[in-house]
Amino acid sequence: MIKKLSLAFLVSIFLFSVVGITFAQSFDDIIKIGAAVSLTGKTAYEGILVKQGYEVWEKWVNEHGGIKAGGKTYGVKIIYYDDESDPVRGARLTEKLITEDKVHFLGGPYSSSITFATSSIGEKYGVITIAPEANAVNIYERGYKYIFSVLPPAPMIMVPIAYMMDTMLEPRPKTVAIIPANDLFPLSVADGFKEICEELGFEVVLYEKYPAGATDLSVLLTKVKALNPDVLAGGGYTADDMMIVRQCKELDFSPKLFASSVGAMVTGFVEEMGKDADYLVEGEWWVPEMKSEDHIFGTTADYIKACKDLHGENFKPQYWTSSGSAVGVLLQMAIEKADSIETEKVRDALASLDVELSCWSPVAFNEKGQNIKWVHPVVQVQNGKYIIVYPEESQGNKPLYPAPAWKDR
Amino acid sequence: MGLGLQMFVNALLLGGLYALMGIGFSLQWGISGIINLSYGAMVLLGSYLSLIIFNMFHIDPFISMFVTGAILFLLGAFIYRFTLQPLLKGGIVFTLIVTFAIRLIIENIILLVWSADYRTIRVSYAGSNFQFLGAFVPLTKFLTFIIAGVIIYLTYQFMMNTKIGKGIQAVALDKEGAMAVGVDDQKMYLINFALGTALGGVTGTLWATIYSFSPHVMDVIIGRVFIIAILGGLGNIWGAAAGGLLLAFVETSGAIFIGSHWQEAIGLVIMVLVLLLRPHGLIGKKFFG
Repeated sequence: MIKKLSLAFLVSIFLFSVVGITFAQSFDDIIKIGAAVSLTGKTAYEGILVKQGYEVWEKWVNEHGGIKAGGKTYGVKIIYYDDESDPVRGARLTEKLITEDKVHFLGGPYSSSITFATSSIGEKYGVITIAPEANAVNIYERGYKYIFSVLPPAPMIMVPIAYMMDTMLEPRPKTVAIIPANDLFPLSVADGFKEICEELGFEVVLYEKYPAGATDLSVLLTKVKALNPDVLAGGGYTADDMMIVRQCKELDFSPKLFASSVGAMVTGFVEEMGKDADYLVEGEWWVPEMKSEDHIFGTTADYIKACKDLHGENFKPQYWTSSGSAVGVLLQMAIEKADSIETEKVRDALASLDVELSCWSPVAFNEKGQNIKWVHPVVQVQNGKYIIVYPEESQGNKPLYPAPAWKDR
Repeated sequence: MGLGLQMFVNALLLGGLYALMGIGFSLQWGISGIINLSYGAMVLLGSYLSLIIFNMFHIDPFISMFVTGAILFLLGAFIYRFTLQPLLKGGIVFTLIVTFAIRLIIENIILLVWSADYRTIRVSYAGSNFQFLGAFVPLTKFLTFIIAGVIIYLTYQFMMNTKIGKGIQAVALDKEGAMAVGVDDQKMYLINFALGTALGGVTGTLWATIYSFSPHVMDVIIGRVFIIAILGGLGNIWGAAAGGLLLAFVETSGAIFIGSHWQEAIGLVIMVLVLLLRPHGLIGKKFFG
């Protein structure tokens, strides 16, 4: 009897809390957003992080008065499916979201390849996709009208490093050597960096590819040393950065600045390299130490608090998660600006956005839907810690430049 | 001139490691008749073993290489006795399948224990260098070169001046003849295979002192040893050593004159040329006997 009573008690508490949550805010209507992301399969790790970003925004909006447009207040409901890390499944689920669940908007999946497939379905039905994690250039070269990207195009990642070199470093560096691994992503990053360096008037004294997966670059680095550039830019992965730093040291070559694309901000890099990792700089899409704000979450610190409130005190959002939240924030901003949830009006509003975000670097789209606003951060390893050195408003410390000779470190 | 000398030093030091790396593979192929597709995995096992020893007991890899060499020798003997020897009669295809399977097993063990992350052994003198006629000589690479040279010399002396070494040569040259005078052919093959594995393990330890490593490096290694063995001639110690040096110089000059991204392709081109023009390798004879 007591068992039954306590069970009934628990059930009533449960029902009450569910009803309580549902009716805590009275919305005039609900905006349905579809998100098929990878919850299992090879990109499940990143997919789940993106989903967690969506969830942070969804909860926040519903608890903070919803979205106001056209005199109505809307709540938000995101419908999630698992695309199993498979583009074909992602496309099929996207079709289901549009035709059966009747979603108004789509949040993109993790990865360029899956987004490539799902955005075609969105385009076919005229439903807007905001992609959190897809910056392969080919997605945006198809003349689509309803796709927008939170991530800037891949070639932009090192661009802020060039701006930092241009405006912050004293004395201003003059010469640059660029040595990318011969692989799709490193090459496109290196090309982007070369272009901006030349545009800003730096002299690119060497641009030479090396084989992806190479284990010894002492020959190439000897060449670089002979040219003695102020800046050495290596566009490769973690192993490449380790190798380049170490072999530079062996050859007693210490460029004033060593710039990397994506290799160094990886757990274990500083651990493995010790103090040899110091002075290295790298472009990042977003880091939680940034200082920016918007009218939705408030400041970056507020955004991080919202993440911790939902996912636990130990949760530290990285760019996968914040790009998911940025999808929601951008959608909300566009709906508010359009004062409507009609696709065409929201699309035009999105296309004309030029905004700062609490959970992402600034955003503005070009006519293809790519985020070309960037000013994403540059991070430098200083005393074994990752410190934001650019842009100035998020700066944790000034960039240390020039790096001293190896024997003086 | 300074630049030329620096490049020469780079190539020479790299060549020492290549030479040692190639010999184990070449002995296994040329004498025991086994194209050991797990050779790269065995080399890496040497790297990871010395990493454990370094992390747990802080023993320098230049000392722990004796331990890794011994462990790999036993492992090689075990693998030969229980997987390869029973299958030798099945011909080369069987040994290829078995060694490939062993490679997969070792690779997955490494992935399970150490994950796919890149590792390095950070000895305190890593990155140190000294100058020689204006060229910078990295200390660890220099030590590696010297040790490789000593090991190659000792291996050669072992083959020429010990009873077992002579036995190995005998079965390599004329198996039936050697058996007729009382040489235990299977024992010789086993020792030779285990010796090759041990040389691989030591190479792995030396590799770990100069490069970072992860499981994918085993493919890089197996690609190199094929070229080295073919350049030098199978089962030939000096041939393999020369092949290693040659590959290092070819890669280096390719990177200088044509461009760094061609350096690996050039090694393969030279290998194809050798196969077409001198199928027994550049050092002529089939065996070192």
